[in-house]
Amino acid sequence: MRQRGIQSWLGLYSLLYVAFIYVPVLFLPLFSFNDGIYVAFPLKGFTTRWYQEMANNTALIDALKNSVLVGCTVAVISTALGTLTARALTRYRFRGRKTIFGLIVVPLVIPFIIIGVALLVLTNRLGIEPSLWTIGAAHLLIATPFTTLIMISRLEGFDASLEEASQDLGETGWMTFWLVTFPLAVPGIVASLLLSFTESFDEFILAFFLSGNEVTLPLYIWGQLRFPERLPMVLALGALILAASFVIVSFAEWVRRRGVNVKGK
Amino acid sequence: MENPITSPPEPRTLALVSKGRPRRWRNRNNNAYILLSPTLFLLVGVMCLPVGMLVAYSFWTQNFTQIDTTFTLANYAAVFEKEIYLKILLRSIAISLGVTATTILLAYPIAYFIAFRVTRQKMLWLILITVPFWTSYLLRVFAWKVILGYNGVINSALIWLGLIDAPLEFLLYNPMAVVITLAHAWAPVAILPIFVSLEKIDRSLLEAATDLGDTRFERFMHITLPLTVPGVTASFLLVFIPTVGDYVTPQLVGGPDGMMIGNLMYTLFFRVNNWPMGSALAIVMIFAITAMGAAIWMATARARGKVQ
Amino acid sequence: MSKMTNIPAATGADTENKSMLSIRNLSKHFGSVHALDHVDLDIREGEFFGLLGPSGCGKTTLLRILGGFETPSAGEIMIDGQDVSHIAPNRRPVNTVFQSYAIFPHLTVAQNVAYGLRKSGLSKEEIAAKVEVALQMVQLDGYGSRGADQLSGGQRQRVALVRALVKEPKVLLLDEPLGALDKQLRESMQLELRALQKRLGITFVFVTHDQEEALSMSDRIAVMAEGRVLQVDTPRGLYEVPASRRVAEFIGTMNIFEARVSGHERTQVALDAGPLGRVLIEPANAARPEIGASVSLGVRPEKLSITDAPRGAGFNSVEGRLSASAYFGDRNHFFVELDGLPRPVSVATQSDALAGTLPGVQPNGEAVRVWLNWPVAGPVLLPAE
Repeated sequence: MRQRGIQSWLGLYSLLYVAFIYVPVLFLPLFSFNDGIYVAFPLKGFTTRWYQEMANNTALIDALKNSVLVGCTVAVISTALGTLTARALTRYRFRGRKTIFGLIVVPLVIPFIIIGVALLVLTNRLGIEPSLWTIGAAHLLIATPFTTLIMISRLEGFDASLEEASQDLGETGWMTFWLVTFPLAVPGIVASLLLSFTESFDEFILAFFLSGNEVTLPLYIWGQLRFPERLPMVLALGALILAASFVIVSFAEWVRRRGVNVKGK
Repeated sequence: MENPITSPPEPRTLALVSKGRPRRWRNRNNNAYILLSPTLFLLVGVMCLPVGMLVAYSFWTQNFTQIDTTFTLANYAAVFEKEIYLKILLRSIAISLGVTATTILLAYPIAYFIAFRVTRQKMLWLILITVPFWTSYLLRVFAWKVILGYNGVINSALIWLGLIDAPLEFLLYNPMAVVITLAHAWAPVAILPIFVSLEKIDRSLLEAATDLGDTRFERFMHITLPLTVPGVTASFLLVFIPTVGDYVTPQLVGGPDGMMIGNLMYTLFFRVNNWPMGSALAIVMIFAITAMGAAIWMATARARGKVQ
Repeated sequence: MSKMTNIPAATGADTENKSMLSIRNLSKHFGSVHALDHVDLDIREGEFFGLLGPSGCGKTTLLRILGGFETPSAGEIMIDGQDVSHIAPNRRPVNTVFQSYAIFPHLTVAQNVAYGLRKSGLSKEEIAAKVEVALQMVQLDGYGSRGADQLSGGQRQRVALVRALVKEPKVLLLDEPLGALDKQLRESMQLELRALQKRLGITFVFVTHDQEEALSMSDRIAVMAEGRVLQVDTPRGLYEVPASRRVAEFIGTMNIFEARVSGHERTQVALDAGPLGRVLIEPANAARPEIGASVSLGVRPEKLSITDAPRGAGFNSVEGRLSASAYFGDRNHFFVELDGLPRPVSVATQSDALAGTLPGVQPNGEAVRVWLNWPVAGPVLLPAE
């Protein structure tokens, strides 16, 4: 009888694979506490001064604020759009449904650089200056397909007769939405908000092509990469971002997947 | 479970109209369009129009700061005539194929492990593996730069342990570094479609193959592998398409030998300031990717159709 | 004088054929659940053998162990004299037809059927010939090049069947082979399967929860419950002479009455059967329990008759009220209530004559009084449980 679970060659390989995914990234936090400028062995001692240096850096804090601003805006709008779109696609049969669905998914398969240069070209032609707005618009484009797919999988399993029962009992369409549909869709909405925020917050290439005077956090990091003495601070920043993203996304995934088993039945 | 990316959801209620229904139902289908309009507006404004403008630019020329809008094919001609463009494009495709092949080969065994050997914590494994993908790509690439560098983690560790005297120079600033970094970046994602495909396999098919005389290896080759063609195809496209145009990885770890088409485009747009040329290159890149993607899609269509 | 035990007496079975499949002391636990509990079974060469029982009785577990997909916790299995208990499924002289048919969707029909022959050493032409013959056997000739994903349920079942048969196994295992088919198809397939089996002479062992199916197809049946074999017998034997109340109630319908033995008279047993009064029985299972013992008296509905006066010699009669009737097209069911009995007695008759003369409830609101008769010879005496 072959062995099950972890105790087998396949299990060993899988553990190594997970290690392969995580270990390179874990060097960042490791060296962010290192008392030395170079990311090299041997380690020189423990320090938190890079983190303190971060806290005093106004440019960094501005970039952080910008990222949060763009991220939240994108999260809210893309989730709203995703919900509306998902509802349209799961509730109604209409002409062009398949084409529209295909169109919605396209941003997921276009290389971001294409979106970046295309937007660059258009905004320039129209005389629009690159700014946080242009970055936000681009992020909205790539986040909405994700939120749509998340909300579709959430709404698809939803029993339509619940809504019909509510309407049968006298509620208007809008109230039915709030009282019946919305509560059941909440896990999907939470996951959408968190995931789209994270995607915008961490996104680099679109911001790179479409930024004006104000930068987002990834752009700030990019700018610091050419200064070796700033390296440890960048590591500290990176470590924090990684930790925060990890927590947010884990939570979002947990919410999303847990919600899938809970239908209104 | 149908592939959620290639097929639209099936509506649960039919909002079709029949003559006997009360009047207010007749506009129900219009509700769908109303709900969709903001998103469609977004798609048209932020995707279709810009790409359309990109196409337009590809036929124009740049005169210092002005754009000459006379129609010309000179940019496209340059793409095929100037050696560097095609060379970089082909190199990008080659690197991308390398990355895709590597990620799929690495991802398949673990997808198999989770699908067949894990009984209760599948979700845990999947989350554990996919979450890193959602964290900053820039930082993950940067981590590799730091690992492979001249004074980086690997070199310093090897020197510290006394295994080498001088730092290894071949680790960074070449196509191999690009492949490793991108494979690492996309590793989490490649697993998912393959996993879904493996999960879908009816276990009684595997028992039947054993019953009819197959060893485990034969069963894998004849039954399991063919039935996962849809998943492998999806993984392939999922990884190949974005990596061709990647900018960050070649820029940070590729060096001159590892430069890819994304870097070339950046140069054209921000250094040389030749936007029409950059646009033409972008369009050519889109075509190349689409052509290859379509070729793969159609080559596996028959195999996929029988399974799905 | 046989004591009232659970060991069944095989009636009318052919004891000439040698034993093809021997199961000795087979047990299987999943954690604390005993799926199989010391099962002993002998299946003869060329038999169409049924494993029958409610869900959870262990029949499917037994079949899977026979096929090699589970290993027994204890006990052994011998096929044609060879101990196969620990041989992998791909090397046993046994093949399985799965409940879901397990047809490979990415292969053609011919490729499916030929799947098990790839390693047999035959040439491609020989294999193709065998496949063709196999398909003809189930009226699927010409379907060879069709994609397996284009078949109907019944066609898939036949492909699954010949795919296993073409390997000429010593035993063919079938897991609920007709469960997924609709009624008409199921009935015709029952006949086809039986005819096929007889022609080929291969030992078939199949699992079903449908007792009518088991009765119509099998040479012998093992009735199982909770991991044990309750009785092994021919269909007729199980129906006429069930060994226990459980078997009696599982196969067909049975009226069961509690009684106490009050005396013996030659081949007959006198019972004190409460509401039924004093009753004289010549038990079908030749049981002869001691005087004073508690027993269960079992009478099949079709052995009972309803009259307006006692039938007299050779019959036991008791008066009761006709409470309901049900029409099933080919037969009528009547239900007779007796004082002191918790449930009405079920009577089945094909005669339409009664239907007219016994309207059920009289105009004055009283139920019709009738006499319930059953013959002295025919009922079974079962241990009280």
